Amino acid sequence: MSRYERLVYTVALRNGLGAEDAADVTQSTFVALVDSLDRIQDDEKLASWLMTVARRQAWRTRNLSRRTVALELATEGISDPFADWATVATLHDALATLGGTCRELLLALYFERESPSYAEIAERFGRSIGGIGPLRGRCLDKLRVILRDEQ
Amino acid sequence: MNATRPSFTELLDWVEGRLAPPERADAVTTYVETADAETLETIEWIRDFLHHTGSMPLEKPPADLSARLRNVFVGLHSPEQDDWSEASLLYDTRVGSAAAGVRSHDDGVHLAFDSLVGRFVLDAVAAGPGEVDVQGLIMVPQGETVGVDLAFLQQGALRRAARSAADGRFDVRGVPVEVDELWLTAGDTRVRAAVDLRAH
Repeated sequence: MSRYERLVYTVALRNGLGAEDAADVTQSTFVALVDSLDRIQDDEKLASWLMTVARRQAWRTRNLSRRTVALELATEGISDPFADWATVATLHDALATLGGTCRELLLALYFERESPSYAEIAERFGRSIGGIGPLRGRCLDKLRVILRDEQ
Repeated sequence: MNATRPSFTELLDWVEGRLAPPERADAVTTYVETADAETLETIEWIRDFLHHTGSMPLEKPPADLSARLRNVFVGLHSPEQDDWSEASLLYDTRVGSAAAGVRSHDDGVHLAFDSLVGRFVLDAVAAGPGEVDVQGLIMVPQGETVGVDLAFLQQGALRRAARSAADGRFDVRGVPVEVDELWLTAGDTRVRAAVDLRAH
Protein backbone atom coordinates (compact mmCIF):
# COMPACT_ATOMS: atom_id res chain seq x y z
CA MET A 1 0.00 0.00 0.00
CA SER A 2 2.73 2.44 0.93
CA ARG A 3 4.30 1.92 -2.49
CA TYR A 4 1.21 3.05 -4.36
CA GLU A 5 -0.50 5.32 -1.85
CA ARG A 6 0.68 8.56 -3.42
CA LEU A 7 -0.12 7.38 -6.93
CA VAL A 8 -3.69 6.37 -6.08
CA TYR A 9 -4.28 9.52 -4.05
CA THR A 10 -2.96 11.65 -6.92
CA VAL A 11 -5.25 9.96 -9.43
CA ALA A 12 -8.23 10.68 -7.19
CA LEU A 13 -7.24 14.32 -6.83
CA ARG A 14 -6.62 14.63 -10.55
CA ASN A 15 -10.13 13.45 -11.23
CA GLY A 16 -11.70 16.38 -9.50
CA LEU A 17 -11.96 15.35 -5.85
CA GLY A 18 -11.06 17.31 -2.77
CA ALA A 19 -8.49 16.00 -0.32
CA GLU A 20 -11.03 14.31 1.95
CA ASP A 21 -12.81 12.43 -0.83
CA ALA A 22 -9.50 11.56 -2.48
CA ALA A 23 -8.39 9.94 0.78
CA ASP A 24 -11.64 7.94 0.89
CA VAL A 25 -11.15 6.84 -2.72
CA THR A 26 -7.58 5.79 -1.91
CA GLN A 27 -8.91 3.63 0.90
CA SER A 28 -11.66 2.17 -1.27
CA THR A 29 -9.21 1.43 -4.06
CA PHE A 30 -7.04 -0.66 -1.77
CA VAL A 31 -10.15 -2.41 -0.49
CA ALA A 32 -10.95 -3.28 -4.10
CA LEU A 33 -7.39 -4.53 -4.51
CA VAL A 34 -7.71 -6.88 -1.54
CA ASP A 35 -10.99 -8.09 -2.95
CA SER A 36 -9.44 -8.71 -6.38
CA LEU A 37 -6.03 -10.11 -5.48
CA ASP A 38 -6.87 -13.59 -6.72
CA ARG A 39 -8.16 -12.21 -10.02
CA ILE A 40 -5.25 -9.94 -10.90
CA GLN A 41 -3.30 -11.96 -13.41
CA ASP A 42 -0.32 -9.75 -14.00
CA ASP A 43 1.45 -8.20 -11.00
CA GLU A 44 3.50 -6.05 -13.35
CA LYS A 45 0.34 -4.17 -14.30
CA LEU A 46 -0.68 -3.46 -10.72
CA ALA A 47 0.04 0.26 -10.93
CA SER A 48 -2.18 0.79 -13.96
CA TRP A 49 -4.86 -1.46 -12.40
CA LEU A 50 -4.88 0.72 -9.28
CA MET A 51 -4.94 3.88 -11.38
CA THR A 52 -7.94 2.64 -13.34
CA VAL A 53 -9.89 1.60 -10.24
CA ALA A 54 -9.07 4.87 -8.49
CA ARG A 55 -10.24 6.83 -11.51
CA ARG A 56 -13.55 4.94 -11.66
CA GLN A 57 -14.14 5.38 -7.95
CA ALA A 58 -13.27 9.05 -8.21
CA TRP A 59 -15.83 9.51 -10.98
CA ARG A 60 -18.44 7.77 -8.89
CA THR A 61 -17.61 9.81 -5.82
CA ARG A 62 -17.56 13.01 -7.81
CA ASN A 63 -21.05 12.32 -9.00
CA LEU A 64 -22.45 11.28 -5.65
CA SER A 65 -20.57 12.79 -2.76
CA ARG A 66 -21.90 15.69 -0.84
CA ARG A 67 -18.36 16.66 0.00
CA THR A 68 -17.12 17.06 -3.55
CA VAL A 69 -15.64 20.47 -4.07
CA ALA A 70 -16.73 22.59 -6.97
CA LEU A 71 -15.18 21.20 -10.11
CA GLU A 72 -13.68 24.51 -11.14
CA LEU A 73 -11.86 24.66 -7.79
CA ALA A 74 -10.69 21.06 -7.91
CA THR A 75 -9.27 21.35 -11.38
CA GLU A 76 -7.83 24.80 -11.03
CA GLY A 77 -4.17 24.86 -11.82
CA ILE A 78 -3.90 21.24 -12.90
CA SER A 79 -3.57 19.86 -16.36
CA ASP A 80 -6.11 17.67 -18.11
CA PRO A 81 -6.24 14.53 -15.92
CA PHE A 82 -6.71 12.34 -18.97
CA ALA A 83 -3.79 13.68 -20.99
CA ASP A 84 -1.03 11.10 -21.34
CA TRP A 85 -3.03 8.73 -19.15
CA ALA A 86 -1.92 5.53 -20.88
CA THR A 87 1.70 6.60 -21.02
CA VAL A 88 1.79 7.61 -17.36
CA ALA A 89 0.16 4.30 -16.39
CA THR A 90 2.71 2.39 -18.46
CA LEU A 91 5.52 4.35 -16.83
CA HIS A 92 4.29 3.44 -13.34
CA ASP A 93 4.02 -0.22 -14.30
CA ALA A 94 7.59 -0.12 -15.60
CA LEU A 95 8.75 1.62 -12.43
CA ALA A 96 7.18 -1.19 -10.41
CA THR A 97 9.09 -3.70 -12.50
CA LEU A 98 12.27 -1.68 -11.98
CA GLY A 99 11.68 -1.70 -8.22
CA GLY A 100 14.12 -1.07 -5.38
CA THR A 101 16.25 2.02 -4.98
CA CYS A 102 16.02 2.86 -8.69
CA ARG A 103 12.24 3.15 -8.52
CA GLU A 104 12.33 5.26 -5.38
CA LEU A 105 15.06 7.50 -6.79
CA LEU A 106 13.27 8.15 -10.09
CA LEU A 107 10.00 8.82 -8.27
CA ALA A 108 11.75 11.29 -5.99
CA LEU A 109 13.56 13.06 -8.81
CA TYR A 110 10.90 13.16 -11.49
CA PHE A 111 7.48 12.67 -9.92
CA GLU A 112 7.54 14.74 -6.76
CA ARG A 113 5.90 18.11 -7.12
CA GLU A 114 8.36 19.62 -4.65
CA SER A 115 11.36 18.83 -6.96
CA PRO A 116 13.83 18.03 -4.17
CA SER A 117 17.45 19.06 -4.68
CA TYR A 118 20.21 16.53 -5.20
CA ALA A 119 21.40 17.39 -1.68
CA GLU A 120 18.01 16.45 -0.24
CA ILE A 121 17.87 13.30 -2.34
CA ALA A 122 21.40 12.33 -1.27
CA GLU A 123 20.47 12.71 2.38
CA ARG A 124 17.25 10.78 1.94
CA PHE A 125 18.95 7.88 0.19
CA GLY A 126 22.13 7.94 2.28
CA ARG A 127 24.39 8.54 -0.71
CA SER A 128 26.89 11.17 -1.76
CA ILE A 129 25.61 14.06 -3.85
CA GLY A 130 28.09 13.19 -6.56
CA GLY A 131 26.66 9.70 -6.84
CA ILE A 132 23.04 10.76 -7.43
CA GLY A 133 23.43 11.93 -11.04
CA PRO A 134 25.20 8.80 -12.34
CA LEU A 135 22.83 6.53 -10.39
CA ARG A 136 19.75 8.23 -11.78
CA GLY A 137 21.26 7.86 -15.28
CA ARG A 138 21.74 4.13 -14.82
CA CYS A 139 18.27 3.74 -13.33
CA LEU A 140 16.60 5.67 -16.13
CA ASP A 141 18.48 3.66 -18.72
CA LYS A 142 17.20 0.46 -17.07
CA LEU A 143 13.68 1.85 -17.15
CA ARG A 144 14.06 2.59 -20.84
CA VAL A 145 15.09 -1.01 -21.47
CA ILE A 146 12.08 -2.32 -19.52
CA LEU A 147 9.72 -0.11 -21.51
CA ARG A 148 11.34 -1.13 -24.78
CA ASP A 149 11.07 -4.81 -23.91
CA GLU A 150 7.41 -4.41 -23.06
CA GLN A 151 6.56 -2.86 -26.40
CA MET B 1 36.12 18.76 -30.48
CA ASN B 2 35.65 15.63 -28.46
CA ALA B 3 33.75 13.31 -30.80
CA THR B 4 33.27 10.59 -28.20
CA ARG B 5 29.77 9.23 -28.38
CA PRO B 6 27.94 10.45 -25.27
CA SER B 7 26.69 7.87 -22.81
CA PHE B 8 23.01 7.72 -21.82
CA THR B 9 23.77 9.52 -18.55
CA GLU B 10 25.67 12.24 -20.40
CA LEU B 11 22.76 12.73 -22.77
CA LEU B 12 20.40 12.91 -19.79
CA ASP B 13 22.64 15.48 -18.11
CA TRP B 14 22.82 17.40 -21.37
CA VAL B 15 19.06 17.45 -21.87
CA GLU B 16 18.59 18.56 -18.26
CA GLY B 17 21.29 21.21 -18.58
CA ARG B 18 23.43 19.57 -15.90
CA LEU B 19 26.32 18.36 -18.02
CA ALA B 20 29.71 19.57 -16.81
CA PRO B 21 32.27 20.79 -17.53
CA PRO B 22 31.02 23.32 -20.10
CA GLU B 23 33.52 22.06 -22.65
CA ARG B 24 31.97 18.60 -22.51
CA ALA B 25 28.49 20.09 -22.81
CA ASP B 26 29.62 22.00 -25.90
CA ALA B 27 31.13 18.83 -27.32
CA VAL B 28 27.87 16.94 -26.85
CA THR B 29 25.93 19.79 -28.45
CA THR B 30 28.19 19.58 -31.46
CA TYR B 31 27.92 15.80 -31.52
CA VAL B 32 24.13 15.92 -31.42
CA GLU B 33 23.98 18.25 -34.44
CA THR B 34 25.16 15.42 -36.65
CA ALA B 35 24.32 12.51 -34.43
CA ASP B 36 23.31 9.01 -35.46
CA ALA B 37 19.71 7.89 -35.33
CA GLU B 38 20.17 5.95 -32.10
CA THR B 39 21.50 8.97 -30.23
CA LEU B 40 18.68 11.15 -31.52
CA GLU B 41 16.17 8.50 -30.52
CA THR B 42 17.64 8.41 -27.02
CA ILE B 43 17.37 12.18 -26.71
CA GLU B 44 13.79 12.08 -27.88
CA TRP B 45 12.99 9.34 -25.36
CA ILE B 46 14.51 11.38 -22.53
CA ARG B 47 12.53 14.46 -23.53
CA ASP B 48 9.32 12.42 -23.74
CA PHE B 49 10.02 10.93 -20.32
CA LEU B 50 10.52 14.36 -18.77
CA HIS B 51 7.34 15.63 -20.43
CA HIS B 52 5.23 12.73 -19.19
CA THR B 53 6.57 12.72 -15.66
CA GLY B 54 5.90 16.42 -15.46
CA SER B 55 2.29 15.90 -16.51
CA MET B 56 1.28 14.10 -13.33
CA PRO B 57 3.42 14.88 -10.30
CA LEU B 58 2.56 12.81 -7.25
CA GLU B 59 0.70 14.64 -4.52
CA LYS B 60 1.37 14.17 -0.83
CA PRO B 61 -1.59 12.48 0.87
CA PRO B 62 -2.87 13.66 4.25
CA ALA B 63 -0.51 12.61 7.01
CA ASP B 64 -3.07 10.32 8.59
CA LEU B 65 -3.96 8.40 5.42
CA SER B 66 -1.28 5.74 5.89
CA ALA B 67 -2.45 5.16 9.44
CA ARG B 68 -6.06 4.87 8.24
CA LEU B 69 -5.12 2.29 5.63
CA ARG B 70 -3.04 0.42 8.17
CA ASN B 71 -5.89 0.46 10.70
CA VAL B 72 -8.27 -1.19 8.28
CA PHE B 73 -5.87 -3.82 7.02
CA VAL B 74 -4.25 -4.59 10.37
CA GLY B 75 -7.76 -5.12 11.70
CA LEU B 76 -8.42 -7.53 8.86
CA HIS B 77 -5.43 -9.62 9.78
CA SER B 78 -5.99 -9.62 13.52
CA PRO B 79 -9.72 -9.28 14.14
CA GLU B 80 -9.55 -11.42 17.26
CA GLN B 81 -7.45 -8.99 19.27
CA ASP B 82 -8.69 -8.02 22.70
CA ASP B 83 -9.03 -4.32 21.96
CA TRP B 84 -12.27 -4.78 20.04
CA SER B 85 -15.62 -4.13 21.65
CA GLU B 86 -19.07 -4.99 20.40
CA ALA B 87 -21.64 -2.34 19.57
CA SER B 88 -25.07 -3.02 21.00
CA LEU B 89 -28.14 -2.68 18.84
CA LEU B 90 -30.57 -0.11 20.18
CA TYR B 91 -33.13 -0.13 17.44
CA ASP B 92 -34.01 -1.89 14.22
CA THR B 93 -37.10 -0.67 12.41
CA ARG B 94 -37.71 -4.15 10.99
CA VAL B 95 -38.16 -5.77 14.37
CA GLY B 96 -38.91 -2.98 16.81
CA SER B 97 -42.25 -1.40 17.37
CA ALA B 98 -42.02 1.81 15.43
CA ALA B 99 -42.20 4.66 17.89
CA ALA B 100 -43.63 7.96 16.87
CA GLY B 101 -41.35 9.67 14.41
CA VAL B 102 -39.38 6.54 13.53
CA ARG B 103 -39.62 5.65 9.89
CA SER B 104 -41.10 2.38 8.85
CA HIS B 105 -39.05 -0.22 6.99
CA ASP B 106 -40.66 0.44 3.61
CA ASP B 107 -37.99 2.95 2.67
CA GLY B 108 -34.99 0.95 3.80
CA VAL B 109 -33.25 -0.30 6.91
CA HIS B 110 -32.72 1.97 9.87
CA LEU B 111 -30.45 0.87 12.69
CA ALA B 112 -29.21 2.52 15.85
CA PHE B 113 -26.32 1.31 18.01
CA ASP B 114 -24.52 2.22 21.18
CA SER B 115 -20.76 1.75 21.27
CA LEU B 116 -17.52 2.94 22.80
CA VAL B 117 -17.02 5.20 19.80
CA GLY B 118 -20.38 6.80 20.47
CA ARG B 119 -23.97 6.15 19.51
CA PHE B 120 -24.49 5.80 15.81
CA VAL B 121 -27.36 5.42 13.41
CA LEU B 122 -27.37 4.25 9.83
CA ASP B 123 -29.90 4.11 7.04
CA ALA B 124 -29.50 1.63 4.19
CA VAL B 125 -31.55 2.27 1.08
CA ALA B 126 -31.64 -0.01 -1.95
CA ALA B 127 -29.37 1.21 -4.74
CA GLY B 128 -28.29 -1.04 -7.61
CA PRO B 129 -28.90 -4.79 -7.76
CA GLY B 130 -27.61 -6.33 -4.55
CA GLU B 131 -26.39 -2.99 -3.26
CA VAL B 132 -27.50 -0.37 -0.79
CA ASP B 133 -26.46 3.19 -0.15
CA VAL B 134 -25.65 3.72 3.51
CA GLN B 135 -25.86 7.05 5.24
CA GLY B 136 -25.40 7.57 8.92
CA LEU B 137 -24.25 9.64 11.81
CA ILE B 138 -21.85 8.84 14.62
CA MET B 139 -22.52 10.95 17.65
CA VAL B 140 -18.92 11.54 18.59
CA PRO B 141 -18.30 13.07 22.00
CA GLN B 142 -18.44 16.84 21.99
CA GLY B 143 -15.15 18.46 21.18
CA GLU B 144 -13.81 15.50 19.24
CA THR B 145 -13.54 16.30 15.57
CA VAL B 146 -11.53 13.39 14.29
CA GLY B 147 -13.24 11.27 11.65
CA VAL B 148 -14.09 7.65 12.33
CA ASP B 149 -12.93 4.93 9.94
CA LEU B 150 -15.64 2.56 8.82
CA ALA B 151 -15.17 -0.84 7.24
CA PHE B 152 -18.03 -2.97 5.91
CA LEU B 153 -17.33 -6.69 5.80
CA GLN B 154 -19.07 -9.68 4.36
CA GLN B 155 -18.18 -12.95 6.04
CA GLY B 156 -14.89 -11.42 7.19
CA ALA B 157 -13.95 -10.02 3.77
CA LEU B 158 -13.64 -6.27 3.43
CA ARG B 159 -16.16 -4.84 1.00
CA ARG B 160 -16.20 -1.09 1.55
CA ALA B 161 -14.24 1.37 3.62
CA ALA B 162 -14.84 5.03 4.26
CA ARG B 163 -14.26 7.71 6.81
CA SER B 164 -16.85 9.82 8.52
CA ALA B 165 -16.72 13.56 8.23
CA ALA B 166 -15.54 15.47 11.26
CA ASP B 167 -19.16 15.96 12.37
CA GLY B 168 -19.69 12.19 12.37
CA ARG B 169 -21.73 11.93 9.18
CA PHE B 170 -20.90 9.23 6.68
CA ASP B 171 -22.20 8.36 3.25
CA VAL B 172 -21.11 5.13 1.60
CA ARG B 173 -22.54 4.21 -1.77
CA GLY B 174 -22.90 0.82 -3.38
CA VAL B 175 -22.41 -1.33 -0.29
CA PRO B 176 -23.15 -5.01 -0.98
CA VAL B 177 -26.41 -5.85 0.75
CA GLU B 178 -24.89 -9.10 2.03
CA VAL B 179 -22.52 -7.16 4.29
CA ASP B 180 -22.88 -8.52 7.82
CA GLU B 181 -20.38 -6.61 9.89
CA LEU B 182 -19.35 -3.00 10.38
CA TRP B 183 -16.12 -1.90 12.03
CA LEU B 184 -15.61 1.55 13.44
CA THR B 185 -12.14 2.73 14.38
CA ALA B 186 -11.42 5.98 16.17
CA GLY B 187 -7.85 6.19 17.35
CA ASP B 188 -7.22 3.14 19.51
CA THR B 189 -10.91 2.39 19.93
CA ARG B 190 -12.21 -0.40 17.71
CA VAL B 191 -15.83 -1.40 17.61
CA ARG B 192 -17.61 -4.19 15.79
CA ALA B 193 -21.30 -4.19 14.98
CA ALA B 194 -23.28 -7.05 13.48
CA VAL B 195 -25.46 -5.56 10.76
CA ASP B 196 -28.11 -6.83 8.40
CA LEU B 197 -28.77 -4.38 5.58
CA ARG B 198 -31.39 -6.46 3.80
CA ALA B 199 -34.86 -4.94 3.75
CA HIS B 200 -36.83 -8.09 4.55
